[in-house]
Amino acid sequence: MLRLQNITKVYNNGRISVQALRDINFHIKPGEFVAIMGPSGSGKSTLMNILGCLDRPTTGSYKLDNKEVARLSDAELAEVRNKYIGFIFQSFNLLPKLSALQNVELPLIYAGVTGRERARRARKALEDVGLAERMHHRPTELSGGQQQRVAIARALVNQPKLILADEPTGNLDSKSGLEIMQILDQLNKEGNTIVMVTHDPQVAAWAGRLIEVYDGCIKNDRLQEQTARMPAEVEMEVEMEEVGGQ
Amino acid sequence: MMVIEVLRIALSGLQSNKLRSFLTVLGVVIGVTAVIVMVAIGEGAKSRVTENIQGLGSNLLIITPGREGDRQSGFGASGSGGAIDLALSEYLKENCLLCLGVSPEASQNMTVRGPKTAINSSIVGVTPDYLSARNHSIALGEFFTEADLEWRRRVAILGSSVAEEIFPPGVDPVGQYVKIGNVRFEVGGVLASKGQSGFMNIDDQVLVPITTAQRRLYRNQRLRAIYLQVADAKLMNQAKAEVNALLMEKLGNPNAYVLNSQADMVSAMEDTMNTFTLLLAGIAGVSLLVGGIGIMNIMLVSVTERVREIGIRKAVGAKRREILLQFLSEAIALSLTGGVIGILLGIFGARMLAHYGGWRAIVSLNSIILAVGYSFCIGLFFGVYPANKASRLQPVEALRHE
Ligand SMILES: Nc1ncnc2c1ncn2[C@@H]1O[C@H](COP(=O)(O)OP(=O)(O)O)[C@@H](O)[C@H]1O
Ligand SMILES: [Mg+2]
Repeated sequence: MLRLQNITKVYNNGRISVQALRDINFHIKPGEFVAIMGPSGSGKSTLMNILGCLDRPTTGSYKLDNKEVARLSDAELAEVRNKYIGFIFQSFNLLPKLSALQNVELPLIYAGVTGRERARRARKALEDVGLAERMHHRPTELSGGQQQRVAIARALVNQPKLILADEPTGNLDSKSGLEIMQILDQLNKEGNTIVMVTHDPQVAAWAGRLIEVYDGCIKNDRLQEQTARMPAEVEMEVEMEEVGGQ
Repeated sequence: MMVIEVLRIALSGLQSNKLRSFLTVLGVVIGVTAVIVMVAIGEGAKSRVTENIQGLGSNLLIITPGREGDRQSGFGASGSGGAIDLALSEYLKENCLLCLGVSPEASQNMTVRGPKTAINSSIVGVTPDYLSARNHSIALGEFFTEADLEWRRRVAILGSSVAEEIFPPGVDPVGQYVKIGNVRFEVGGVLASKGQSGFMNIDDQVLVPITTAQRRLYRNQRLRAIYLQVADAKLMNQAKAEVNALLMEKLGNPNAYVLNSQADMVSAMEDTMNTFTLLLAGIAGVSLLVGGIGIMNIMLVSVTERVREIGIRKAVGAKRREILLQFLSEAIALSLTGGVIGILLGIFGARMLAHYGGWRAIVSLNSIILAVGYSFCIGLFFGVYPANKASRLQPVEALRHE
């Protein structure tokens, strides 16, 4: 599916240069659900952005479906982002002036899907994430969890093979986070490849493989048992409700 | 991806940023309107002045006092050899072969008191030729005669506005008396209303025999001008040479007089009026510039604000070309809207000025092209240039933009 070899990334802001990634090597097979963990500033987002073709590595080789990404033009990269990759951001990155439906339509517009077909597919994607009722709301009229589900619908609407999520639950309360994880889990079960960055071990437990990044290097890369775990607080709330109900 | 699709994005972008769109359009509108109206006023003034001079007749020569002549015949100077005076006028009348009519003119502002009110008015001393030479006509009574001129009779011909102001309505002024300064004049007639002619409005003037005026009213012998009617427009050059020779002979100093043909005056006046138009256009140009800076500001701010939007669009698969096209269409739509509104408002404003201000305003195509072209370029450049920069960024860099 994808293979990284000797990937480095150096940020050059005037005089200061930051080595965000030192030497990253791994490959991911189709259908995998990978969680990336690591302390803040260790280079997780940098790595995700390179995987998502939102940024280019400084050196090294990134092969996506056996194609060398470095050789692709900007226009070709745009097409890869559009058709091949669905990216979910921690901060949602929805366009505030557009409705949920219009936001989800964006990738379809740039894919050249028009008219009814476009509206149908966008609507379907929103229904799939349980937002059938909220299609015409603007992002500001939605809760964080709902906004993230719009973002997921947008990421999925072109049926990408690779879903990338950079701390998808990072800005959400535990309950909304749980809903998001259930959606991602479902997508993985349907055969989608997912790479997800998270801080939260409970969230990481949903993945079948855990990569730990430390200071721009991979410290640990192991398979694990996929366990659908509720974040601790939600478990507590559920218990409380049960106690209260009795 | 289809162009239509991008256009649709651009239009909905404008809709969702109503204030920004409005301000940008406003900048264009103000600049375009100002330029069109100002230039229209300048062009209108030019055409009116030119027309007025042309209205004097094409076979006219005009003698006015020169720089030095003025000094020589200062206040109280009586007919000293080198002045533009009645004696000179008589001399030309007798000696100029190509001149049909010689019409001297002098004037001074004085009070005219009638039975109703007294007003300040231009008292113009002329000869009986004046009426036909200037194509005026009498509405009431009769113009004064050669005899009146010779006897220095105190006869006054009132301009129609003057008559209306100083006489009560319904009273026939002819035969009544008015006081010009301290001198009593009999009203011989009232001129037909004609409005602006040359540089004067004939309706606001009072005509008296020039001999009477010089003796009783002005207390000096100076003439404002001598108008010479040349027999044939084709003979203008010869006539001018002849008059010039006569003047040199009589006055002996080329700086004592200025001899112009009507065509000379038209071209001199056109020069002046062009400068005037340019001045107005310059003033309007400042507002165009300010409008342009306004557009620039709003566009720059909005693109900076929208770098994130560019990042998001690129992240979901927009190509650079599509981003550029979107911003280009937005800028064109704004500039065009502003331009069209500006043209309409400009034309409307010019019409209103013409209608209510009594000005002549001529909307010129050049001013429209200039104003719209300028605003268009500004809108386009500042709409697209920053967007172009932003569209070159990697999506992450644009997304990181706050
Ligand atoms: N645009 C940038 N310019 C300079 N340094 C950056 C930039 N983005 C990230 N960094 C630096 O690179 C390192 C890794 O950042 P990041 O990938 O965002 O970490 P994480 O997502 O793991 O918290 C950090 O030291 C961060 O300060
Ligand atoms: Mg991060």
